[in-house]
Amino acid sequence: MLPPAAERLVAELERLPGVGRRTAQRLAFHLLRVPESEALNLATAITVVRERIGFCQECFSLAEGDLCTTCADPRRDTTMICVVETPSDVIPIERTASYRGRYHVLGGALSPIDGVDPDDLRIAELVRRVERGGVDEVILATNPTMTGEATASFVAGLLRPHARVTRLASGLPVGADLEFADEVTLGRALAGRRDL
Amino acid sequence: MRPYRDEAVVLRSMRFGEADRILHLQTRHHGRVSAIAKGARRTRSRQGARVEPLSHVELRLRPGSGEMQTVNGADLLTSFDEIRADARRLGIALAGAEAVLRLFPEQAGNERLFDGLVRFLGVVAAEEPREDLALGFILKLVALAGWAPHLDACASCGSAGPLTGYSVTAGGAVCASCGGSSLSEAALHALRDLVGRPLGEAGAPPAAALAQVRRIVADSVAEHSGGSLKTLDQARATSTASK
Repeated sequence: MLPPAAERLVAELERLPGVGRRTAQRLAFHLLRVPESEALNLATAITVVRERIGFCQECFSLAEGDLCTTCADPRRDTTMICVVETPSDVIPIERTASYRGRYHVLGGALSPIDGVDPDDLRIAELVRRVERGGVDEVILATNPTMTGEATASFVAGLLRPHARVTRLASGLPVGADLEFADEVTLGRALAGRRDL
Repeated sequence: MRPYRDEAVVLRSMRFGEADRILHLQTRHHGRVSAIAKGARRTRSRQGARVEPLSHVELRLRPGSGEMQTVNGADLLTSFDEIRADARRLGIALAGAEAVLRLFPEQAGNERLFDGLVRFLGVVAAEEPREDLALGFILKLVALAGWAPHLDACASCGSAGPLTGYSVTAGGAVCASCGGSSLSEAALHALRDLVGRPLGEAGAPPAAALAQVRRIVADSVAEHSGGSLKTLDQARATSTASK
């Protein structure tokens, strides 16, 4: 139905996460409709990001150059490291505006059944960072899933001799009604209750 | 096929798409089922916590045109969260779950298997975590799959013994003239205990015997499923770390 070049664009867009055939067609028609410069800006941005973006040499988050913006910022608190699974996990923590320390991106979570062992993650690099000194607290912010908890437990065992190790709390979403909470989350919220 | 309800244990869970999870389930009445839990990774999802690996749940499932079904709802029967919160218990439980994945791929109900799996998780959650819990459960799975090890006479020639070796291809302990890999008296005793006694009631074997039993379990699963257990080393490592 579509000319081959447009069909190829649809096929490439369809490979993006969350994009089906119809959405891909809609995006393709949009790119054909907008001014040529606007479409080419998108193409250039994709080319540039692939050429310039790599991993931060310190924390393994995304960086344009040797260091990411967080590690290069002298105002960040160097005594705290927040450990996350993927670079995209940094964004929601930054959005809280409650954390001013640095990060360490592991690159995934331990999962023996999938063949992901400690050597496949940047755990040794984290231990070396903490052993260098100057780190008072490591916050383990891996996902509250089976693999995330197993990773947190493993990393905590390695770091405890060198620094205070804390884990993100589990609990109820703010603004939610208690009656809609699932049993596991509510159970953890009860287990982690605090004095007022 | 119409939507239906069934009890299930989540054996494995994988990220899929933007916020979904693909689940590998062992169900009571339909055997192995693969299903997608849509939106399970979103923070507002109530399903996410209920379909974590090792959870015992009652699911509402809707079959699709292919093999993949859709989770329409989940009620938690037992979360086994205490297993996931303890690396030692988790290593043992995952070894059992992986063995079920490898040995029972059939889409047919198997109530003995399902009840045994739920009991295994209950024992792992309640008892002191020991590697022989996983080894005993996997040996029982091998037996349930139809390859019960012969431990009272030579599995190869039928002689009364003494039984000094083990042959996975022969299907059990073998005498000196039939060869096999080395099998100590303590390891033979441990095998009989682990296969014959209820889960958790067999005594912990000595370290040398445990190593022989571990090798026999790994070789047996590899022989009968065509793939090796990736999680058995983890069960050993975490169990050793606990001592």
